[in-house]
Amino acid sequence: MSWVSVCQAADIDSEDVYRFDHEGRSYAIYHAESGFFATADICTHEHAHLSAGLVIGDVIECPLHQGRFHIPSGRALSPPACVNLKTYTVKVESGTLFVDLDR
Amino acid sequence: MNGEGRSLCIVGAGVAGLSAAKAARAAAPSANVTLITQEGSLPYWRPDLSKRFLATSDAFPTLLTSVPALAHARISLFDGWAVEGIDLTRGQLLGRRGPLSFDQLVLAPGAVSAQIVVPGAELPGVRRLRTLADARELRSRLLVATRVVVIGGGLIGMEIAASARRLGKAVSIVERAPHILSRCFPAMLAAEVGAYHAKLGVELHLATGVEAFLGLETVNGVMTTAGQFAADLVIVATGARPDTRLAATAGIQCNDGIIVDEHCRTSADGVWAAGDATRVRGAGGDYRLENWRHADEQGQVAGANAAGADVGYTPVPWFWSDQGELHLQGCGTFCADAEEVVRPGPDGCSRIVFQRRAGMLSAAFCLSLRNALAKDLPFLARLVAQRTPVSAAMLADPAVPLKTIWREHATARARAESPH
Repeated sequence: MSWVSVCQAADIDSEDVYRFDHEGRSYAIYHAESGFFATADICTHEHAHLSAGLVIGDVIECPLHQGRFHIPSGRALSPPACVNLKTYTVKVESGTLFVDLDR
Repeated sequence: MNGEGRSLCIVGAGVAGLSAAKAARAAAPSANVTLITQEGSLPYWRPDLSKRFLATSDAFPTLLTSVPALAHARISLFDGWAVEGIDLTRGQLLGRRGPLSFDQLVLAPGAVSAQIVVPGAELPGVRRLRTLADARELRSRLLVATRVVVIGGGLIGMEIAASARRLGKAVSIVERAPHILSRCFPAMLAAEVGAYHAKLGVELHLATGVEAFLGLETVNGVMTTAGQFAADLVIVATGARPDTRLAATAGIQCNDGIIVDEHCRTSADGVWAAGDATRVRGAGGDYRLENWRHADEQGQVAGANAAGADVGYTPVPWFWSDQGELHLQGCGTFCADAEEVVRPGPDGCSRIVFQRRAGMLSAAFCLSLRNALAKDLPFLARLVAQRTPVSAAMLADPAVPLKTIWREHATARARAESPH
């Protein structure tokens, strides 16, 4: 386990996404319909930051080519996204959002 | 059709055909779904062929599915299988490997490159780009070429030019119209795209017609209305024509496209069509669209309806293009003389042009240097689809995120539609 604090959970509006850079990598931190989640920030299709995309319910849509992923599982939902997204575990403690970057 | 053991065939395994197969499977769990392509490959991501695939020497095509995924969906893929005719009376596809019976048929044969009728058009070294096989051939020629001339300054021509420049080739574009992208993009943005390419070292020859391709064994030049250009590789990117050969020969109604309605029905019972090959005639007008998202969505409708569903479809045209570090998007129907509102971006190059008709947003076009306008992009098509009545001042103000405009409008509309 390698918990890294990201931000105050209340700072991310519902149905929104926040870009978190840590040790040279980008992560997308979501406040989706089912709660808080984290995935890799770079779309598995082509180089685009998902954190610039649109959250609809539990789905993130890539801003460049409209590929879609299921946020909680990282599953690719619609082409051109075909490869699943890496997901990370998150937790909220005393209002602070943490992400486990150890896997 | 309830799908009980019935046979549903799809001709063409581009994105329209693949989406039709998947939608047919979802709508008819027990039908036999067969996807037929004359190409020797799994369905692939065709938009990439003019971009990354050409410019990267070790690139593999991005596949849209896999053998296990097709097996899991119980979709049979017949690749390398050329359909040579359709017997509508017997419900059979004809080909060298024998007839294949169908109960319902979806045609998704796509488009073929438009020909250019000038002397020398058949010379080796005069290439086109449509299929993965074309792209492989073109890339191997591109790697050893020194002077490349691209005929046509449309989206594909500009993408190919950017890819060829990335490989360090001398590149010229010959375009008949007075500016590039004249069919699909506002002149102001097109000029910016042209300037970007010129800065990369691409020579633009506008308002220039091709008279002949020169050379004996292989091409060594292009004769144009503006003089002669040396070339050891010529790429003709002058657009595409719907592939109506199979449908027309079978007596299915075609007119610059296989005619379908908004349910993807053709003039023949039990035959549906989708993708670049179609021309839609319905309440929404009479139009052809050649873009990836349309092929995907229309394919889903054709597949579902062939499997017994009853789904209609009114598309919002949407395209994108990647050229070097430029990302272009357009949605809605481009109109060369619409009222335009410009939203400036954070750098000198990026910006969005909105087109309005009767106070309503009718189309939006974006030029973005890398990810500069990524935050606004998801809302272009959404705002256009809603025909949002929004003031020019708000659209033009980069301090008001498009997300805010979209959310406010969506909320207002939900409130108006609510019975309480």
